[in-house]
Amino acid sequence: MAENVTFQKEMTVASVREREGAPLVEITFLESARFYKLKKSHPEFERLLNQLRLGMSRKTPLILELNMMHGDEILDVRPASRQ
Amino acid sequence: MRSSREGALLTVAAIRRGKGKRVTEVLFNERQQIFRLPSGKARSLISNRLRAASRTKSPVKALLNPLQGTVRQIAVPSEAERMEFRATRTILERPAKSIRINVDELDPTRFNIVGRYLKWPIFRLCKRVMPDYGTAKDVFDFCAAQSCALPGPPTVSPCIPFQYVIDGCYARAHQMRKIIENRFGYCCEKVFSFALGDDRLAVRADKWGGCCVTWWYHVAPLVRVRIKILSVSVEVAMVIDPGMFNKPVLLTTWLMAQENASCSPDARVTMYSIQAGSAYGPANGSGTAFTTDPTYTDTNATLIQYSGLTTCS
Repeated sequence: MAENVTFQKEMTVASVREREGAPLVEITFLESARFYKLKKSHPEFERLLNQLRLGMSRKTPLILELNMMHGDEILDVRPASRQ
Repeated sequence: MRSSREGALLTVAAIRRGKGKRVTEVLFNERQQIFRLPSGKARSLISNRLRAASRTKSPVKALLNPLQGTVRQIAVPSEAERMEFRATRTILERPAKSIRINVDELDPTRFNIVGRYLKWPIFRLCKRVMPDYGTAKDVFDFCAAQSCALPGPPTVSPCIPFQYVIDGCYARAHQMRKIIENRFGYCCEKVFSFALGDDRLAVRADKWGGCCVTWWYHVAPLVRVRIKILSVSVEVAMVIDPGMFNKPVLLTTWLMAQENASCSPDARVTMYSIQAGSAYGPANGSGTAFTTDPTYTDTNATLIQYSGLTTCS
């Protein structure tokens, strides 16, 4: 099966910004100046948020799947070491 | 004599096919030579792996034939190899301390004066300051002319995507730093601004359609310019940022522009710092350590990746 790698980026989490009542969590990465978002309505929100927090604490890069090429919405997260 | 087999960990700069041509060419950031994909069964696997690596900006383990100019094999590097590759991207030694500021309270008539008010240690390492504002404007105009948004090939390749201010300031700044130092021969430091906690840098992209853009940090080349006020000669800190402005601006103007309250109620510069020109991007989330890109590998990859994008669509 062909792997869909179209909208992936490898980056290291700089910060996770959570605001009470906000519909999303903002994530910043060392490799980018912009803000990325993880929607709380994502069915796997907790798992993805944990992955991002873990990546930040370990300072290890993560593979992110984004909603579009150069998009800012995070759809999936996995450790960069898992090829 | 050159070998017909050469293995290395490389990053992909571009995969291209000329108009009407059947041959796909591969450019690596670490190689000057242009490589072709091989024919046969391996071609599609190699192509897929190269394209995936290009998108994720990850290194690949490449086996090349420099004599024929072909890619023989592409493999995914092991975790240990990737870590080693990353480790070669050195961290900036002894960075200057970042300083918390309240931009509202800055006095532009004093803050921008180098030596008297701006006393960053890095200024002592280079004395080739720009002799006047006209020189700074010439440098600015040359950098702006390398824009990917302009027709025709740039003088310095790759072109600089000033039209895509959503991201990539680190690569634009590094390419301009190369121009300022190598082509014009002047000192060039980098100024970083950071928005930490709940703060965010917020600018209106007036040059690119007027939409709002927010960042957690921003960086641009900082140059020192000698000016005369009556008979007194002083050096002022100016920023070259053609993504945001049409001319060099004072450091205070650059900082103030990032607190556009009409774009975000949280628009605030938490802190700023002036680093050596070799600083590339932040190495941590608190803005106290910086990466470098001495081979311009990441710079070129980012410039190419963002060359066709726009800000306000």
